[in-house]
Amino acid sequence: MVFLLSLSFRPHWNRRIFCVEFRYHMELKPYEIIESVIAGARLGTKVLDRPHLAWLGVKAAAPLMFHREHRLNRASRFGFQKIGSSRWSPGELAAYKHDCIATLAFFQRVLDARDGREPLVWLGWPVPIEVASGFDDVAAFVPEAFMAIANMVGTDGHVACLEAVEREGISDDICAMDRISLGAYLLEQIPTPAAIVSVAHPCDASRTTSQLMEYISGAPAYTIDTAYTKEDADVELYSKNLFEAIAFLEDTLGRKYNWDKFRRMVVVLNEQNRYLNEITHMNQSIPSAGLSLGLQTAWGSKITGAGNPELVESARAMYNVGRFRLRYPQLRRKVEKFRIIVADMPIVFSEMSMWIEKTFGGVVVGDYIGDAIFPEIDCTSLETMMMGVARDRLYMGMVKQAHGAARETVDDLERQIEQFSADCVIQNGHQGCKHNRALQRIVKDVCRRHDIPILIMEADIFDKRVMSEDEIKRELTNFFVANGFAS
Amino acid sequence: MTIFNEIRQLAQSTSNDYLTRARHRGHPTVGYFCSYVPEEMIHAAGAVPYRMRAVGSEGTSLGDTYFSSANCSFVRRVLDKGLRGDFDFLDGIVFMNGCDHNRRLFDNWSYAHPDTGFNYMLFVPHGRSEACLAQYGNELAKLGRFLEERFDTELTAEKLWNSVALYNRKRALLQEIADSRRSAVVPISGTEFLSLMLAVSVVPVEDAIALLEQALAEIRAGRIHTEQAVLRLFVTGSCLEELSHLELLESAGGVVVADAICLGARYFERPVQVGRDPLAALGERYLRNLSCPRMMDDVAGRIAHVRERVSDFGADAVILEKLEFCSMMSGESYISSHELRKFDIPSITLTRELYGGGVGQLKTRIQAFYEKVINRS
Ligand code: SF4
Ligand code: SF4
Repeated sequence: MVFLLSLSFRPHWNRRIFCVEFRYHMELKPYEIIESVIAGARLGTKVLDRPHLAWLGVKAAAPLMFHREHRLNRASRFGFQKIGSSRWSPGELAAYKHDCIATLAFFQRVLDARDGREPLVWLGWPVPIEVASGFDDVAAFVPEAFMAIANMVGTDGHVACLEAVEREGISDDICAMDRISLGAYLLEQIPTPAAIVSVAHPCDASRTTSQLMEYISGAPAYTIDTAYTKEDADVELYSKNLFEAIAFLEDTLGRKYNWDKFRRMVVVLNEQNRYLNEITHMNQSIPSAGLSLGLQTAWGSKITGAGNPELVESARAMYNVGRFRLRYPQLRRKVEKFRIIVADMPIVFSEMSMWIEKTFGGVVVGDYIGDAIFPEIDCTSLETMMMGVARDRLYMGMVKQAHGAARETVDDLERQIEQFSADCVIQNGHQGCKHNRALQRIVKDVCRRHDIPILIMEADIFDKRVMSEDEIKRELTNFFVANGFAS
Repeated sequence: MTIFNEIRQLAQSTSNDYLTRARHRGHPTVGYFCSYVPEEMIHAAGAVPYRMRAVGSEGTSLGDTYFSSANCSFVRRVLDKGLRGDFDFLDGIVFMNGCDHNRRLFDNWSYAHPDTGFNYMLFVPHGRSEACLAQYGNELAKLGRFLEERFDTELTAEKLWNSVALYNRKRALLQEIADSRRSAVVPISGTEFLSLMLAVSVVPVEDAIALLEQALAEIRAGRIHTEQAVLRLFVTGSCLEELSHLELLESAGGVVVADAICLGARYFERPVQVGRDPLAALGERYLRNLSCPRMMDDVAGRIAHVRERVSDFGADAVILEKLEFCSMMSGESYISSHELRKFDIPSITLTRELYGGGVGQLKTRIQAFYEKVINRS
């Protein structure tokens, strides 16, 4: 990684002054981000093996890491936030070790594929990973993973990817998550695929980016079409398309799909889901189990690793943390002063929930993705299993709310407000989610009906240039103070 | 007054006397969005299909109480009109999941419930495969049942084929008028053609046919829009309905000779093939017609279409039109401009707000682009 320092004069017309701005332009070496992820995951696997010791280490590092990103913590702060910003218990750290193991295996395989050991298949993030990981000798990758991992080299990592796309002349109307993944490819951070499987949901950004990815990479592609609801007929269409996608990969790659492996993965998925659903219940109690950040992690891990037994171990360990907390609620009562629902995706480039918890005693009890309500998969036949996998991914956070009619979003929010006994709602107002931004009136009315305040920001959850961490914190502080949650 | 004056008036108004007369004869009016809603089905149910538009929009202030500033100006303006009562003459609307903004238009419309009758959402797949076609067929069958119940009628094969015949006739007339622009002497400008499209998509099909026959007669009689050697343009993109915008393009020294827009070739190219099952024929035509960027598996087909038409109509350049916040067109314009460059076809992407400002800036960009195109030849 090379930083080029540039000095620029930026006019601030409203203040009628010129200000001097120093900007870092990050220049990435090919595959630097994935290599950083691998290094981080390897370190995590080792260090978190001794969770109590790790806990002490993280606590000791907190003063350097917690408040903001700077030169000294740039390459490690995102990782620090991923493990709870020093607010996680040793139990949660122990759970995360399993995510590290799964992450390490996943990304190592991508680099191996780059070196020609096996073909690489790109999957749009809502596509069940099982479509590719069910092959014995195919590596799967999800380019949208870069929305988060680009920050492993510091948050200028995602900016570097976005700037690469801007230089290409692609408009910023498209969700930054998709632009970051495109940028990562343009900057040689992702190996070229042998095939692509994309899906026609949940939003325009995914639809147009799939076309761009296919165009830019030139790889043969199959697009899964899905319908608008979670009803059986629509799930059936999705599941038929999943079978077709596997057949497409068999044809394109000249390899056989391992259906026994698929069956095993579905059984594992069911087990993981049961724990995740239970943890969501635990977050609903008062005080909550405080595990929504853990559920967010599980959301990300599931996209790249569904069916991996390590993720069951992670979920089981998290569940045990929750059980302990529910048994001794007085411990959480000290932490939890009020309860928050985030009515879209959490900010990705910097973790906010732990900051809110530490600073104001506000606990994010649920959001778009830290909330699991996965239906049990019927394992009687391949067909029922595939239907189950399709349905499972329609209940995956972000798809669950965004793929269909407004009621999918609005009912979900109403349910969350009621089940999680929320005191307020925050909507980050993510710029990419046009479908969500279009519902601001309806969402405000929901909160009015429930007599709880809502803050709607205009942030971009992936792009710090739209609203910086400091600006977001300022807005949140003003909101909490204005509504009597803080003084 | 030539027929084109009447057409221009129709194009610039929200409602018209043709609709009123049809209503008196017992034909309700049903609005619809996008080129994936088969008008034939609405017509066969005894109603007049009305293509929704923002023509005559006075702003977005009411629409903005539902949508955000990150939503496309088309939906904000249409909803605004709806909330002002401009569409109160409608008996219902068939919405469609064209894009995220459009699908939320259905949600916001249903929530705000202006006095425009029923709201129906037609879900259209994003691909053209056999599985998608089957799914679309199911959705059309559902729409059919809804219309039957709503208008207490039966969509028999006979009624549907009769409607197909009328709409095919309308398409054929539009095609002939569009094709007249192949010649060096262009009989009708792009602005006039867009007026024609706007007009004939809001009157009963029988009246539309009569208007088109008169327009065609005028063209056959030697109508001339321009004889001068000006830049011949091909226009494609997302929602485009502003006559003022095409006037801007043409007054700067160009003439639009062909297009691939929803109020253009996407509407009239390719007739419905008459066969055994009318719903299957409609499904095939509407799903596999000239696609728009929402269809994920046809980007190569769309590029091929542009190249073919550019060559057939002797176009000098391609204008890629995009409304602010239209993600679908953002990806499409990137791919299109790159592909066109490979074939040495100049193109420019123009981003605008529907009925928005910034005309001076747009004009400068357009003129600079025209100069560049002229200088290369
Ligand atoms: S964040 Fe919103 S716009 Fe971006 S991919 Fe997810 S649903 Fe689509
Ligand atoms: S211009 Fe684009 S965003 Fe706007 S309604 Fe049309 S397709 Fe949707």
